[in-house]
Amino acid sequence: MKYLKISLFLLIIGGTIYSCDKVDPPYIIEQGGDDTTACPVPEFPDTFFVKKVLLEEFTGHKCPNCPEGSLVANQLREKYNGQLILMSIHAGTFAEPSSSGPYSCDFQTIAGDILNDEFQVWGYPTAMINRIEISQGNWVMTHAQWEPTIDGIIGDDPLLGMQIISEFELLTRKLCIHVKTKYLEDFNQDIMLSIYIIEDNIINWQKNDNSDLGPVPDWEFYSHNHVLRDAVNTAWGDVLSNGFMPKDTSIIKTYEYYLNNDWNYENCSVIAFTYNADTKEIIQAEENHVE
Amino acid sequence: MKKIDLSVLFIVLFCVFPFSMKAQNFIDGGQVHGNFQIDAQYYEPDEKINADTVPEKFLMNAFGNIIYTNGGFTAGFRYELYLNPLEGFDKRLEGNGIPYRFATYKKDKFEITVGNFYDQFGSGLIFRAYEEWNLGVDNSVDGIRVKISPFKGVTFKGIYGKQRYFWDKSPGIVRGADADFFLNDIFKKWQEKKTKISIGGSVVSVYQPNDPGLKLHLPLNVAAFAGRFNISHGKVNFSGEYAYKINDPDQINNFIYKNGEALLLTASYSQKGLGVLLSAKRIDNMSYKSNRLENSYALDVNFLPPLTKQHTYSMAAMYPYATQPNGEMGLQAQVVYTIPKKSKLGGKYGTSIAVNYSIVNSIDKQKINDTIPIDEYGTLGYKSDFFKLGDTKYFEDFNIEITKKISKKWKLIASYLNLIYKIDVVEGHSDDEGEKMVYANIGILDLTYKFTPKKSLRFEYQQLFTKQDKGDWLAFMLEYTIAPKWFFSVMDQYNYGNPDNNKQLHYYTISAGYTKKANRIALSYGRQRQGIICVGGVCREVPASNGLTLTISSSF
Repeated sequence: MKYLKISLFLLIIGGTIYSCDKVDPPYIIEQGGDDTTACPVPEFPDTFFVKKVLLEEFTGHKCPNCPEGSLVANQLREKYNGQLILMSIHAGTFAEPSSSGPYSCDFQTIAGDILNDEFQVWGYPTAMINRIEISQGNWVMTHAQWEPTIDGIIGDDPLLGMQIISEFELLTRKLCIHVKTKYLEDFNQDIMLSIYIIEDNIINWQKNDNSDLGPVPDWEFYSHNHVLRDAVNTAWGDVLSNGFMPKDTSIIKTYEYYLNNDWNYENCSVIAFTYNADTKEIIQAEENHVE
Repeated sequence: MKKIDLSVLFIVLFCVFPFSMKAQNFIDGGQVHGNFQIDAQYYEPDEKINADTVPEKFLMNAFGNIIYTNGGFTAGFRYELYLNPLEGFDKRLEGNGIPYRFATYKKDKFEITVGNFYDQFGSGLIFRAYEEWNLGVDNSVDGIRVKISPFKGVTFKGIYGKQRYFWDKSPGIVRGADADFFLNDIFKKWQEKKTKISIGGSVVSVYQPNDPGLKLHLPLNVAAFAGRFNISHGKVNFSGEYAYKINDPDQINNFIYKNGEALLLTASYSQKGLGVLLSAKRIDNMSYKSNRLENSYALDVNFLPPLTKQHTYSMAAMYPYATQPNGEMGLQAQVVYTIPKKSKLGGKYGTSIAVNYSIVNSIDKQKINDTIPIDEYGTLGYKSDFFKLGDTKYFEDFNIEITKKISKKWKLIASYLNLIYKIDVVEGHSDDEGEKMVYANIGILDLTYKFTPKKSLRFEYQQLFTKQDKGDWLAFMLEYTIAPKWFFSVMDQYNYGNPDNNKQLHYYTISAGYTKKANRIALSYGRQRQGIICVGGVCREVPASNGLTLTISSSF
């Protein structure tokens, strides 16, 4: 009888060995890449390409110095007249929401957490400019360095041309995103394409320690702009091309995406950018308001 | 995707052995115990050491445990307060309340706990819920635990619940079962044998809902299994545990689908005056959390024990090792020998020598095919040869400590350490010069002089030499103790070798403390250097600070 009971327990323990979900490949869920049935590809107009630069700011609603960082970023956007694209990534300690009260809103995203981790963000507010590795293992810089870094690259000729057309259906909240990338020179490297959604003018609490900008220490009606909401094709995007691509080749990628009900579509934009798969450095970026 | 329900196991574990508890008089025979601790600091800005301004100026961490016992019944709670958390502690701790409360009833061979509990299966490779106040770590499980010892030498445990997540709970549900068999008690023939053998096995499964934002086919139930043994024969002991975890893509491993493995082996020999310990481990993709998106130390379901010596002297603890859950292979050897009293080398009072060596390397990682980089998101990640060492050394520590009582009045402890420390991996950053490997030599002298049996003066001198990181340091301390109540100390750590002249700073501290029975109060004033502290291979960063620190603890 005693051994029967031991056996019963062994059976129970052993039974749990199978209590798990073994996943077989493919592991990644394809996100409507080239889903032209749901999203027919429209005609892209001819256009003239200029170099565009992406500034990815790491921030948080509990970061008292961050309103000043955002002010600098906005001033730079004005200066570069549409050639500078801004994205605010809420990640790290200052972005953690409180369990209740003013700072309970969660602006963090999975993609933002991954970027914060991968690019070893050491302070807030800091930003990456085109994900350039400014020194070994260091991608982010404080706002004093943003302008000289942008000045160093923004006058370059564009190597890739990018266009975005986004079509939004209010009823279903379906967003069709079409991204056309034109190779303006011969390329011999692996190119990735990333597509992110951002939202402007989210009115919510923000810590602030600069009384020249707004109320201190808590700014109740702060307008959070360029807030990263989601990565359409994961934090690292999709492969656009591998190896050699001759000049004047064009690739159109189409994505079907559904905007979250909590986001105001009128304030949302699509950011698309291409980057070198090895160095992670951004080659070209584009932004398009959801319409 | 294969899915088999775990619920059958837990229904059996919790229902086959029903409990009933008779109403008792909860006053007669009841006892209340508890302990309190307050850690508070007044912060002063100090630009020289980069100590930030703390807007609150005064921060406090505090707790109080109250435990009531009456026969087989125990119940208790812990009140915690972090208003606001001390610098260096996770800001998510901010708040106050009762995050821990439980009730346990134990009768004969059965025990049941509801509420929060701490426990571990084996050495913790697949489950350990524990609390470490100094790190701000508390991953207690809030749920139900049952322990059953149906026969002598046999113990079963079942756990079910959610882990504490600061002031919230984990999104994942942790379920587990463990069995432990002490064979010498089970088999009559073995009872008198000198060789003692125990074996055990455990299984844990974590359920977490899908995260559509990850765009991955996620395993919603992630299970891990472990088997262990312990054989002892007189002075010799040999133990080991092997753990296996199925695909568990999470933030720590960059969402790869490779299985996880861990192996821990320990052999020891001890006799009067001599102790020898040899241990080895291999960890491969064994981060196991009840939230796949968590990338801090929070919500660890398991614990990966470190195989490195935990140093206590300040210079020796400058470069502590943090376990690398994504992969490491380590070895540790330790010999402690006491040269007998009244021998030529041992002197009148004997001399103790402890030699310790540990090394930790990366594991072998190879691409799964030509096109997928190692650790690529949403892939199998990598292949690894179980017995092959990786190319990167993470840590190496050779240290020797000699303890000698010279006379009735004098006692000496002398230590030497040689450390190799891969700072970018262990601390997640390079040093100021971009160096990734730190090579350090450390010498320590600790001398105590007893004026009377109760009054003593201790002098500590430490010197750290390195060409990397912040360069050379020296530290000294003078501590005057009037046992058992009072102590007074002055201490300075001086970074005289910092390559930046402006950072060649003194970190001075003065302290005093008073202890009476189970009550202790200590005050200290001075600078705290920036660094990391580790307990059991789990680490947190400590920012530089300057100010007055107060610690009060009491138990009853």
